[in-house]
Amino acid sequence: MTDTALTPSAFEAHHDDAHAHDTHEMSFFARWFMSTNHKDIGTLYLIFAIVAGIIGGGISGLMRAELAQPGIQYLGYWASFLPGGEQGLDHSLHLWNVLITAHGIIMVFFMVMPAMIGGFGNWFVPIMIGAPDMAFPRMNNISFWLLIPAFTLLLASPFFGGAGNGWTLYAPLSTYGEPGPSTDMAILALHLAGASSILGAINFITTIFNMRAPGMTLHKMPLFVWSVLVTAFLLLLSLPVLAAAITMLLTDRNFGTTFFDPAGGGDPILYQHLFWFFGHPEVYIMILPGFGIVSQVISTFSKKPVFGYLGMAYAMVAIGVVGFVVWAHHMFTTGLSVNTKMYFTAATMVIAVPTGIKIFSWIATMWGGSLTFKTPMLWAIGFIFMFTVGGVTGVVLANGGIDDYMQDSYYVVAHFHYVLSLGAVFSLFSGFYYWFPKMTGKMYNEFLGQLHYWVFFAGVNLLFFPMHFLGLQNMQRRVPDYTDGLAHWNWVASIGYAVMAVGMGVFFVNLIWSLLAGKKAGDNPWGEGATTLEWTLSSPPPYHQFETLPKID
Amino acid sequence: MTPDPHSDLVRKRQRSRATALALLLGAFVVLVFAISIAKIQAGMPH
Amino acid sequence: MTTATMPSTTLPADWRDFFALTKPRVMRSVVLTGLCGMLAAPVHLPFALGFTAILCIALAAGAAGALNQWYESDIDALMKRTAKRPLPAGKMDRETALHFGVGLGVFSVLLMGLAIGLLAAVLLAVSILFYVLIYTVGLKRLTPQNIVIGGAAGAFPPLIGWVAATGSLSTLPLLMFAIIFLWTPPHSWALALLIRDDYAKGGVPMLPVVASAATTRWQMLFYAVLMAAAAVSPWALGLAGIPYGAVATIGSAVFLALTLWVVVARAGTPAEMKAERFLFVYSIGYILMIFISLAVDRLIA
Repeated sequence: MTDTALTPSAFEAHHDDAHAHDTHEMSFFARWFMSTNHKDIGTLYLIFAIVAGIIGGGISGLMRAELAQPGIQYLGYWASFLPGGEQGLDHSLHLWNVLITAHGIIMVFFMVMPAMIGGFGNWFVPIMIGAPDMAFPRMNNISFWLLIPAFTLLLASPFFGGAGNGWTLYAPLSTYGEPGPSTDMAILALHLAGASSILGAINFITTIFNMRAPGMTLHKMPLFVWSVLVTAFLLLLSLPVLAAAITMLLTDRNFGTTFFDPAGGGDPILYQHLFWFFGHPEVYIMILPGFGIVSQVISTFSKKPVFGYLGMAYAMVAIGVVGFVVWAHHMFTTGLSVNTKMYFTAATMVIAVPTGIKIFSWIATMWGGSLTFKTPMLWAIGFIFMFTVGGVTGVVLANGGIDDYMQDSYYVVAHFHYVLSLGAVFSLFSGFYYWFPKMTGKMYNEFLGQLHYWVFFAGVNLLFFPMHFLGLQNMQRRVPDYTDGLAHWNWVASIGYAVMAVGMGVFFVNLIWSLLAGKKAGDNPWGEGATTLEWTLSSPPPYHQFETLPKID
Repeated sequence: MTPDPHSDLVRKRQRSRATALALLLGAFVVLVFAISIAKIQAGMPH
Repeated sequence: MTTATMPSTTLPADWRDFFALTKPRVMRSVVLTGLCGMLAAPVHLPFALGFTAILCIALAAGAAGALNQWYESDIDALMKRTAKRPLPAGKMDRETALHFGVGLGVFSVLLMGLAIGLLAAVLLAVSILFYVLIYTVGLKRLTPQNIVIGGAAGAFPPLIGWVAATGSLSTLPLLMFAIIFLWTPPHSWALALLIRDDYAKGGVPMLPVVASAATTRWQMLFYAVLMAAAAVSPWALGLAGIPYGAVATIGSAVFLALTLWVVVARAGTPAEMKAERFLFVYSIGYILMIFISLAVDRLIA
């Protein structure tokens, strides 16, 4: 937000190096394992997300390898590495279920959410509102360290049979359909990750409501802070519902209850209602902080304040609110009444309105701006294009009637990868390149950054665009085999994966090269367009900032 | 550098507000969990 | 704005100030009448849901109170009774109060809608908007009948409590609405007669300020008669049993007698207004008694 003009004299604090010594006095263990510093915890979250992303992305590589040709080529061989069970076709197909489950849960709970909220949120929300740290630094530490056992439980589950329920954990497959400890482990992993996110959400809401520097009113906060605030509220209202639903799954599995079992008077569809009451807000939880990042980046590299600031902020609020009353559009084929389907179709389409407001406001921000196409800006513009594609297919899928045909087809897979893999992930890279100089004090390599962008862009489009065709030809998701007629576009998609993987290789080369030999970054490498508070601090920022209140006029 | 007394006062006020709000939010989480359980036990979709 | 010269205004508000902004004492009676409306209903919610419904009603009342104080901070500063509220006392800036009120109101309506049902949420939203827009912004400074129509805002809680439990409206909750609606004028004007000068200072056109005390007292009697009729009708219509009928009949008779006393005594100065003071105190006990007995009557029936 550019109308948040700053008084430079208010930032004497960072010229004073008294606190820079703090980091040297700490042992490695104390600094990184017992950290209560929001920037250190943010860094831990980012590292965690990168590791989880490599694992989750690696799993999708296995899936694209298997899907490259019709028939089942590798699953049996891979299954032989895991303990237990006969080595038959069932075993191979179960491994497939385990892979898709792990890919989904890892990418949603252990990659996108930790990176967006835990990583960038922790790093920049306190700085952007002029706070010295999060409201509850120790709780922040707990939030992060809960993720480690959660992720460990999930990663260990394949060695106890493997949880092959899909990331949605639908009953009855997740209740009496899959005995053995692995599904319990996956459920507990979600409990822990959920607890981590709830604590994080409480921390963010409290920080944003109470820790703002004087003068930083709600309507002056940068849009990234707004996006994290809305996201935190979505987490707070949706995660307890998931926790309740999967707790009942556990009791159905282990204690003989029948909440989701018709044989005992329960209802498996009830689980779907509960899951999607969480699950739909969850997709906005994954994309809203991305909206915030893209708003900062577009404004910075257009050298203009964001067009329609209040409209942008309240569009996010509207998306968050409406996001809670559209959940059953994930359940159009479960026998809902026609009237119910009509309501959910209409309500879902309403979401396109605030989303459209955001897209057009970003374009209007660039309009007449003095644009520079640095790497973060490329990712942000790519985000707008690709997210719009995902949004358009979303409007198609919102129709209850069309969904009878499309449900669980690759068209759906294409849709949600366009909003996540090309939406959320593009915004993550945009934020990463945008804030890399601030977080590390070093510039990334511009050439490698742009190369990464173009190779990745080509790769993911080659990977996911053909899935629209496959879906329209009725290829079903969650199945490792398909008819020969679908071979062509599956092959193209697998090539696309390889191209994307090369792009990721460029990213890691850039990351390592820049950390080791990157040019020193100034306080504000982006110039006059970057107006939020983090650019008034040194790069990297001092260990403690804003102990003297900054002044915001 | 020692923070000036005014900043200190502001931060103290913020901390007491933060504690109050966090307790309320925590209670709200418990409430939503309880509502969900109640709905599951009643067996009705929302 | 420099932090050095005016430190007190830049200090963020204390959490207790936010609490005071919700008018906790009003909230208490709102919770009680809402709870009675819910318990009087033939359907009983699971504890967590019933608690949520009452919580939402309370939060909505708090939001309405905060928005009322946001809008009225200028009048409040002029009146002795309200000068110590957070806004006139300078403990909080108006924008914060506005954000707090709007946020709390939206939150309560959304929670009601998601946890309980659409109709209850719509009524809750209507009750907030009625209190804030029609009463506070519209009527209060405009007409001496402000308290009559504004009384509807205070009459919503039992209605919402009932709808939260049953999902629909019927005669009994509408009668409960009518009882509070008709009770408000005699109750409020008894107070207004006592602190007439304070209202006059604030420029609020309360009936005793713009009309004579006699007019006010006759109108009090008029509404008290209607109120008594409404209070007895649940029993007369067979919607409540004899225990409630007995309490309502005797309680309303006493209310009418006290109001008659007010009319007859014609006290001139606040110091002499023994009847008004008596009626005001009794009216609070009366409304609580009516609602509690109605809820108990329905629970044991």
